[in-house]
Amino acid sequence: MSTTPTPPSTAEDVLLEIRDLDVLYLGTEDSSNVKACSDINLSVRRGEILGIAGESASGKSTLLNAMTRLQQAPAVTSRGHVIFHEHPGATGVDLVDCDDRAMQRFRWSDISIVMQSAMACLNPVIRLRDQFFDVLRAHDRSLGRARLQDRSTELLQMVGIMPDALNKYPHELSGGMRQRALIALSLACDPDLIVMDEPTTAVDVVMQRQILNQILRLQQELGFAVVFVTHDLSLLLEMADRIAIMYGGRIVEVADGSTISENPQHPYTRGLREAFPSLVSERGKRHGIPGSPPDLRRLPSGCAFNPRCAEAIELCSQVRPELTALSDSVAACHVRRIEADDTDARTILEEAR
Amino acid sequence: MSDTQKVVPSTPATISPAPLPKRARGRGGSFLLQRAGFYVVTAWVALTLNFLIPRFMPGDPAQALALQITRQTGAQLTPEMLDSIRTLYGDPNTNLLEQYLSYLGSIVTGDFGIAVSRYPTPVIDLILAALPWTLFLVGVSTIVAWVVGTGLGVIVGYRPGGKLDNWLTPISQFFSSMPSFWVALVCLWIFALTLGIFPSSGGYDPSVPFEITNFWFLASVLQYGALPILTSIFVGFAGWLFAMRNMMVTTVSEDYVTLARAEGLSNRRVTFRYAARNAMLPNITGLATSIGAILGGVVLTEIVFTYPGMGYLLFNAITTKDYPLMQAIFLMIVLAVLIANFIADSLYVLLDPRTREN
Amino acid sequence: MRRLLKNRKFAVGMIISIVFLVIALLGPWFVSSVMQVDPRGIDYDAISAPPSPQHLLGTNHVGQDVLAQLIIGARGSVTVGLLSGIIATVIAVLVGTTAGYLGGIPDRAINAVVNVLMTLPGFALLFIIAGYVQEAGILLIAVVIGLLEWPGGARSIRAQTMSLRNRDFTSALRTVGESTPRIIAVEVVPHLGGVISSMFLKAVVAGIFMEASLAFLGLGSTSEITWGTMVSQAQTGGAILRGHWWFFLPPGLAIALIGFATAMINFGLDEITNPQLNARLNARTRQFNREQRRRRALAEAGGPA
Repeated sequence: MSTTPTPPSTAEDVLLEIRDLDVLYLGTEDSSNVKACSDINLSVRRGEILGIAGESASGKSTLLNAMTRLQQAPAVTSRGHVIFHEHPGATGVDLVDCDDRAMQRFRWSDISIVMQSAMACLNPVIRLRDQFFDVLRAHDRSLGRARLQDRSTELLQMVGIMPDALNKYPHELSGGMRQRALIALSLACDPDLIVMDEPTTAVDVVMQRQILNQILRLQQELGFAVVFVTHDLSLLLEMADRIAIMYGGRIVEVADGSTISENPQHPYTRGLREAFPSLVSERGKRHGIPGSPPDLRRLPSGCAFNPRCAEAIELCSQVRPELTALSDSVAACHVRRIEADDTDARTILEEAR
Repeated sequence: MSDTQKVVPSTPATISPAPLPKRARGRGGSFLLQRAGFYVVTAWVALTLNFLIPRFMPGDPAQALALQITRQTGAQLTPEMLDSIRTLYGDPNTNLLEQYLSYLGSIVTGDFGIAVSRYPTPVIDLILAALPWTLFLVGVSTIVAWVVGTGLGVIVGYRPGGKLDNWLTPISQFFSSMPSFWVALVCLWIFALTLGIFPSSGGYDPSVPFEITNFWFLASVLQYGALPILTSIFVGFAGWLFAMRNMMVTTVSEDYVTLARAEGLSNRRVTFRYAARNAMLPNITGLATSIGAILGGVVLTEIVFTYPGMGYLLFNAITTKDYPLMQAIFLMIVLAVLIANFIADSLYVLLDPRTREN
Repeated sequence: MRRLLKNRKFAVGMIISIVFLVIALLGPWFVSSVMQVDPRGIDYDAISAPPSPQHLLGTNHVGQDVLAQLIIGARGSVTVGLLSGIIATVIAVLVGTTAGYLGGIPDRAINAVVNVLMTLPGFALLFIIAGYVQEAGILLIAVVIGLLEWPGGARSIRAQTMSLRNRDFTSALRTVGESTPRIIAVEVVPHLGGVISSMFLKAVVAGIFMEASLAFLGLGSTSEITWGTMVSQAQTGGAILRGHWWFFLPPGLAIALIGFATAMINFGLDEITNPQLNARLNARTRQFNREQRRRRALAEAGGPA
């Protein structure tokens, strides 16, 4: 483990910074490597809810595994930094440089996760109690049985589960209970950041609503930050402070929730925005985005979205747009840039050369 | 067959483990009851096959058998003995159903007829004398091979593609591809005949009194059993290693293992309590499926070491064409396999709470 | 195919298997025309002789050339293996696809039978049948072995078929009114390639094993030479007692090599179809991370570039 000399953070309240991150899926030889995330720059502030949205294979889960350092073969972080600030203003630690042992210090007490399928996340052959005890004991060996029991009970109550569930095996719980138990588990060591990967896709709509409300309430009470990853943009619009949109392994737009909701910039964000009906508004017209997500092995040249984009101009298939600050959003789109800016297609083309 | 590893599921993805139905969920008790019912049916099928096979063979086995006994021993058969032979091997004068019922009757009462090769010893006596030796060999070697193989599988599967995996996995595959009797011959040649470390034949030291309570007798049993047991372990462990390795590799990427890692649990805890604990379940089912193959391997090994178990008895029965003995051994092997299956099922119920679902 | 051969395990397994196949095919011709040895001929000057220029692998206790026997034995053993493997595979495919495709009551009935047969120890059935059929030739032995070996394969084929049955292309054909046997033959079986080839390889080796075991029990063919009969003869001829290793080691090693080769082929196929199992990818990932860590540590020591 090492501490990277970090240039002074832009803000005091930054908790986690991802800088220039690339993630590769290794093939059996170098020529068959696939880049699943490229040039990711993103930061999470203390206590905020950051949403990450994208279709399947957009690289969002890959990114999440890389930032929590949970990636498995054949995924590797080939470039970049994930800088974690344990205390406000403290020098950051680059998690990419941490080996398993060094990571142990941050796991669960600083960063915890809630994954998609609770059934698959709970060890099927041991009781819930043992899974809670295992976590608590791993971070405080001094805890006695009574304290462990109390704390586990308390955690379950926070998510509205009766403590007798501790005696049960995962398969004996309902889907909603399992998902909430998983959330309770994630709170066990008072983390600063909880990473949630589609935590509500496996449950029905009513349960989804309940769980989301619970997460929001707990987040207000306990003040942890949340990174919420989902393919369902409408969900994020309701809860996220900021939202990042991913496409083809890159972030294509980052903006406040309200901007994404009311004035999205990137054509892809606009498409996503219309693809899902909002949970609150009445069923409006929905348009899917024509075409299918790109194959990461054969990304289109220029902007990866250009073959599916109604607004694409010639430049879009020639030069890959960089993220640029627009009035209240940051987006990677030539068309928007040209619209908003003084520049034109030729200048961009020349710059690229 | 001695090819344990061919029976153990090699990849969880392609081969569903054993006849243990995943959806057979009931309470543990009713699940086991269901399994017991299945084994009773299987035992009945074996009994019936045993009844039919001699009757479908050309000629009249019963007649041939009676003649053979007279020829070999010079003894005249009493009418009762002739009757008993007819019951077991067919009587052209009574109908098949009648024969079948009286056959089932004599088997249930433990009457397997008389051993031709050791006339007039009843077959059941020979079997009862040989059975404990085989159970000892099979029991010890299976448990040790399972534990060693599964344990090594955990280690190898934890780092697939590591140095250990690159060498140990193929080498153990090679070992397990050797026929058990051939490995036994090689062991006999090296350890007993060339190096003289272990005795070359028998199950115990004949100069020690044959008493189960005598320490020296027990020690000699261990000494004489060492080579057959080592042979069976050598041939058997690799199958478990390979199956466990593959299960570990796939289990390590299960979400609950990832979560355990994210929780900051110690490496050991993640490996054993989360990954290995789940990965070993198919190896328990594998125990049930491959016990027949293991038994086959041990039977052949016994022959090499003239070990006083079922295998050697079988060899004698075959060379002397002692059909009553052969058939009884067949039934005993089937019975042993079924009981072992049931034990493995019970173990599975203990280890996987999902089979105990209410 | 090229991707297959790039997998070292698969390639090694394939090469060994092909070598054995060639030996089984051309062996007898090679022995009679090139070596000019009669595998059953007796050299009275060399009885139980160790390897020498005349007899590369020595001779057995009656003075027959071991190398010639080993080559001829390959044909016997491989024939039993292939024939029993083909029989077992054909039955397994027929039974497995039928059960898996039809579902419902026929499936439950077939599955019950398969479970019973799987639980019965095939080896015990084999020796009891072979015990009654005295002096069986290798073809009969192969047929009996094949008839005993299919249930395991039928199970996995059934499972695969069940998952294929519900895919779009099969349901589409069903609605068009295509006949069941035709759908199975044309649409289902081709998708079972992986399962079938893996089961076939296992059945071939199991056949070779079973034949050898039978021979060792004294129930093998008396007229043909197989690796099993060679080991059995070595045992009864006292080769082990006298330490004549050249007589009993080669046939056992040959069996082990074939078993090893097919296991490696299946291992390689598993790795290719299931990348998770691919040891090379895992090793590459670890290596990448090691080098990456070193690079990053260096870059840091040199100061931020």
